[in-house]
Amino acid sequence: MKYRVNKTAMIAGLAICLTGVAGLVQAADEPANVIKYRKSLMTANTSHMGAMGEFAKGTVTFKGGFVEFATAINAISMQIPALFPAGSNTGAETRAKPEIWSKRDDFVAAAKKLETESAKLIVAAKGTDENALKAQITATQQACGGCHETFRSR
Amino acid sequence: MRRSLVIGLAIGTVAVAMAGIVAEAFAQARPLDMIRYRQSAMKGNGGYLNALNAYAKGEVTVVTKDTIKAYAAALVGTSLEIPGMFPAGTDTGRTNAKPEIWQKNADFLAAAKRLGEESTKLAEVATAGNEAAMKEQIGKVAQACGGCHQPFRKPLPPAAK
Amino acid sequence: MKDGDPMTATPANVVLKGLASVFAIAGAMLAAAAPAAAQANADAIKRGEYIFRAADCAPCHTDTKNKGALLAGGRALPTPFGTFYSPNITADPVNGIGKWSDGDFTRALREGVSPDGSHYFPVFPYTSFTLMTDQDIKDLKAYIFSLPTVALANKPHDIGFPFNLRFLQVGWKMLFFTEGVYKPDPAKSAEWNRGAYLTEALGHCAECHTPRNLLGGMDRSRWMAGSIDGPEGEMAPNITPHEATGIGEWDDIDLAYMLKTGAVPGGDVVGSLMAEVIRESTSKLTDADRTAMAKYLLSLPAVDHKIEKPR
Repeated sequence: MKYRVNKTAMIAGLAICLTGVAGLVQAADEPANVIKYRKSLMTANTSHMGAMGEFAKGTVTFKGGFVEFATAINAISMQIPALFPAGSNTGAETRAKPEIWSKRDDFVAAAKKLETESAKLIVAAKGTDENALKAQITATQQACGGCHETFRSR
Repeated sequence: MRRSLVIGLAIGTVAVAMAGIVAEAFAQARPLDMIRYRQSAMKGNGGYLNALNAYAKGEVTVVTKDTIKAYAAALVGTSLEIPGMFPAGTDTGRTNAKPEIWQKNADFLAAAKRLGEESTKLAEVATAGNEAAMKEQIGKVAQACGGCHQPFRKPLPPAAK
Repeated sequence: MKDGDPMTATPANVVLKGLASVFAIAGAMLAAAAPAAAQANADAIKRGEYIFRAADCAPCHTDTKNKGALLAGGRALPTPFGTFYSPNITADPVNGIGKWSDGDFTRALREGVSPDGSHYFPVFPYTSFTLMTDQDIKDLKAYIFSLPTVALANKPHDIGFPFNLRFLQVGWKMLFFTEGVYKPDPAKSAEWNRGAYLTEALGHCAECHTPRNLLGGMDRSRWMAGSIDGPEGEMAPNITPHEATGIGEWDDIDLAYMLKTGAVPGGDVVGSLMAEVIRESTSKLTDADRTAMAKYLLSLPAVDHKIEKPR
């Protein structure tokens, strides 16, 4: 009896797994398209950091849009693991290193770091302490660099 | 004779002082950096548009309505800042800004406002989650970008880093 | 950073206690002198730590990828001539440099010669460290000797014939190496000279950012103008102030901020090996030093040299 229950559960589990796999396969996008898509989002991140970097350097005092920029970076950061599905290491020109897939946990952790720092950046951008904002912009940039160091080639 | 010399000297002194003041003002305003700043913002908009277009064309499915909402919000955010990103005096140097931005400033501001309106609508349809409506609205956002670039941006931008 | 004082004070105290119990008077006299010596050593260690950061010793001498211990060596350094493995430079007496005198250490950095008289391959940038002052070299050694020792044997280099023949390095040195401490340029400001020293002697920026000829010698006419096949086969960008192909659009604020954060104008944040340099070295320097480096680099001749991946 016990044995049969387990067997049933196993079959059910297997069925669920297969459905899941089928779903994943169906959802998988063309690597070339995923690469293009994620590059667009990295461009967006870059541009926001560029604008905020000028403020952090003190070369402009203008800080318009920072809350929205930080919010967008935060939203993109949460997507990063999904933007690098297995198989998207080729198909179009990409600087993604194989470590993204071979050291997946580290990669996800690096993306998570950006999520954490950009969340703090939203708070800092809403606040009035300019020095805290500058420091947090730097911290966010360091989160970018921390991931690029291991996972992006030149 | 001597008086004219004194006057000449005085004018010269004032001229030098004024040149100094102008140079000082330039050093503080550093127009290059505002140009760099707004180019960054615009490049970001371009990134979002490329991402949105990829979704609208059905090239990627990793997109969710939440991410579309986030992109739309960022576009709204930038659109609100556009008027402040083009202060007078930032029309020279490494910029593709046309003089029309300042000559027909009301039109320029209206064009910027339109980007905000279309992007706000995009955020709204993304909240509702109708795929066809989202794709339709992405096209309108793209038109809003083009609607401003056509009269106010020089074609073929020089390679900005 | 962590203070070295407690670590260095302890052995001195132990010695003092032993002496005092045997020769009370001599001990009392020494007690006055020994703390001063200990303090001097602590100061040297502190200065040495800054030199250690500025010279970016840790990344090459630590096999971080494989979770290797600090300075225990073993990091693979692939070059066009083969793969080198960095040696253990902890003060371990058997596997490291624990038996080295100050003279040995100075000779290694200034002349590129090991205590047994053999010549180093220029993958070790003695070609830049030769410019370091005696004081900085001594302080650096004091700091390295204050760190934990690791008993890890060195891995032999994996390089092909004829490049594996060390004596050929004598010829290489005659062609491409100029020995000698940095001589400040009296016509330039103190800040410029500081920047030059940090950039050329300690930071050894040119080692990666200057193109090399077929024999691995640096092309002096294209100093800092970038290299298509830099370390680990990656490109090193042109960092001369050339408008189109270098960093001519940057000012010293941009460059100093990049050295602190990795963020370049336009918003990208550098990755790969430069990210390591920033994390381990330039982000730990003072703002004044970063600015001095930036001003020095931007004062170099602009070289038109486009660095682009062949497609």
